[in-house]
Amino acid sequence: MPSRKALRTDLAITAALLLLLLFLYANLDSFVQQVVPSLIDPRFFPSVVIVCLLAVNALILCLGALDWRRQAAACAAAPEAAPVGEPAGAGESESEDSGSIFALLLYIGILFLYVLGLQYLGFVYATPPVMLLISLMLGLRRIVVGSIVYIIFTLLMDYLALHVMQIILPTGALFS
Amino acid sequence: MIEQICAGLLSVLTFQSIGAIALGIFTGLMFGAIPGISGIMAISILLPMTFYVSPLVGIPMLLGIYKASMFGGSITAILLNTPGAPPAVCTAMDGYPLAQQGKAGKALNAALTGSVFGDTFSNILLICVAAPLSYLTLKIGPVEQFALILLALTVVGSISGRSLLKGVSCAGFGLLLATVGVSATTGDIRFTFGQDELVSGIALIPMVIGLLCLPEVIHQARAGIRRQIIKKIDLRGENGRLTWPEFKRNLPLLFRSSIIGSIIGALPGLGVTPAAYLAYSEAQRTSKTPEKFGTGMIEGVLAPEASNNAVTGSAMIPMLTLGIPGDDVTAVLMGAFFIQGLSPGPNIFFEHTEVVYGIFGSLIVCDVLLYVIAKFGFNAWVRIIQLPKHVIFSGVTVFAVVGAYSINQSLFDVLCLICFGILGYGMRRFGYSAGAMIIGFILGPLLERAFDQSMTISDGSFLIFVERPIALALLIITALSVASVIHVRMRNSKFVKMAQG
Repeated sequence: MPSRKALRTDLAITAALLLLLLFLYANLDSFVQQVVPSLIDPRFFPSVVIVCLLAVNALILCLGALDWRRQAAACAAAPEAAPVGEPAGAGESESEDSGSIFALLLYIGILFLYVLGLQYLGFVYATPPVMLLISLMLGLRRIVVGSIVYIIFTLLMDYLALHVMQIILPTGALFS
Repeated sequence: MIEQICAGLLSVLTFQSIGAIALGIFTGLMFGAIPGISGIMAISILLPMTFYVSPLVGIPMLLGIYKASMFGGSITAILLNTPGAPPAVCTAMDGYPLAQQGKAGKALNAALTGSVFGDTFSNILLICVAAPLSYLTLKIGPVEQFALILLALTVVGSISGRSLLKGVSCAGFGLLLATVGVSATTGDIRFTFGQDELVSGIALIPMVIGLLCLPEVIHQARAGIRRQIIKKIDLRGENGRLTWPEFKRNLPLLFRSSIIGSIIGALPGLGVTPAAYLAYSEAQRTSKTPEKFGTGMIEGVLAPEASNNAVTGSAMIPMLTLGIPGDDVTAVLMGAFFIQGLSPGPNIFFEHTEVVYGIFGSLIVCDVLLYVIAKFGFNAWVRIIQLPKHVIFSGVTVFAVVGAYSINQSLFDVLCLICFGILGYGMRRFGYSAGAMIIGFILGPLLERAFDQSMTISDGSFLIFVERPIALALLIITALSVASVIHVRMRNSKFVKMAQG
């Protein structure tokens, strides 16, 4: 059985998904524009998918709520015992969670920086620093060696993209 | 047919095709061997490259990755007791004890022999069965196709992870995402939210790479880097190789395991892991010394390896003949076919005969190259799996971005990639299946097109789906399949609850 925390998260996610689906369903007319008259209503297929999704997510929510009630009853029956499904060392998992969120935010931040770098500096100038940042995040120690490897890697990628895939990677607004 | 196979084989005996297969095998071995990185990740990263080459170069490369990654998973399973992929868990059960007894070379050679044997067996089966089956499936019209795609969606049952409902929900969201942009049949514009970039729909490649690759990098960043040192493997002497008498003695076992893998692979929705487990337990059941399994039996390595590699060839039978992906890897491979303008299904054998037989030929070349490249590079693979992860994952990130950018040469696709990466990480963390979403996304347009065409034929009557016998039979099979998935899952969860007391 999942822990109470996992169950709570599941319920919150499902509730959010249900709200999103209800919003999409209620505003389907404005999200679907008919261009050519046709036999089938253009909203039909998306509306069927949304209705099925609403049903499935409502079921997930109901089953989750039942599990939650069962766990609450079990906790009430044995208040001294550890909550049902709660893993040992919850504190450890919390610190791991915060580490994970930090890594997630850092990585996403680097990715968005990379997009900006590609937009303004181009592939050749933006890639080595980004690779270096990711490597540092993952525990790189020899920065000079890493930098040289990443510059060579970038130039090689640029060459291969141009001559093998025949695509021009972003050259950057500042240099074009 | 033999003439066409020979012509197909000749068409892939070019420098480009063989080079692409070798590159695919190299990548597959590397990605399969590194724990945490899977073959599907390698396929999704190299998928954009296939856009710029001929189908007989791009698709064989992906097939090379698919097959090699299956064997690659067993390298770390044997040497480190860390399976590179879930099916390699069975290989580790006897492979790791063999390595501890100083027989790592024998275990690796047995795994490779089993893999190539299973692979070749299922490839021959694919070549013999697919074309005749496609003649039968030619009678399928849009109504039957709709029912067939519904049946294909039941594959979600096997890849949804712990919660079937979450898997179904993911597949539904995949279907919904597939409706974004201009409808292929009616021309209506849907869910673009005023963004011009969304008019052409969400591109498959940023979605696949985002959902499959980026979450792994984030996960690795969280898990931290742990480097394990492996000694050089001794490949000489009796302990370093699989001897001819050993191979001959285990030939019936190899055939049995390959048959198990081929049957499981051809049935959509079962996947590779059950094939490995089933072959392992069958090998143990038929062994004269079943009690020795788990202590370093060569049969315990040969059986799961032959079986899990046999899945790769036969999983392509439903994909090529019916357009049904057997699992998430074949769903991504189907995407590669679409990129090349080829629609897997019965017509592919008549519309693109040369390409299909070329792909069959490339499967045979794949087996030969897999054996040669893996066999002569055992010590090199050991070095590669010890590469620092920061080198691998920073490279993976750049490959992912270049791959997403290369399809439309647009930074919007890179932004999509990041969004899907974040979504993929969230899905992974909270037990939602990215594979199910990808399957829904790939099958969505096909399902909608078949539905629209059926409705046009029937003047809007839904009865058409039960009036056609083949469609009705397929719908009944779909219902049975859903019922069986639910039954199996309920039984399994009951067992788990009983085990937990």
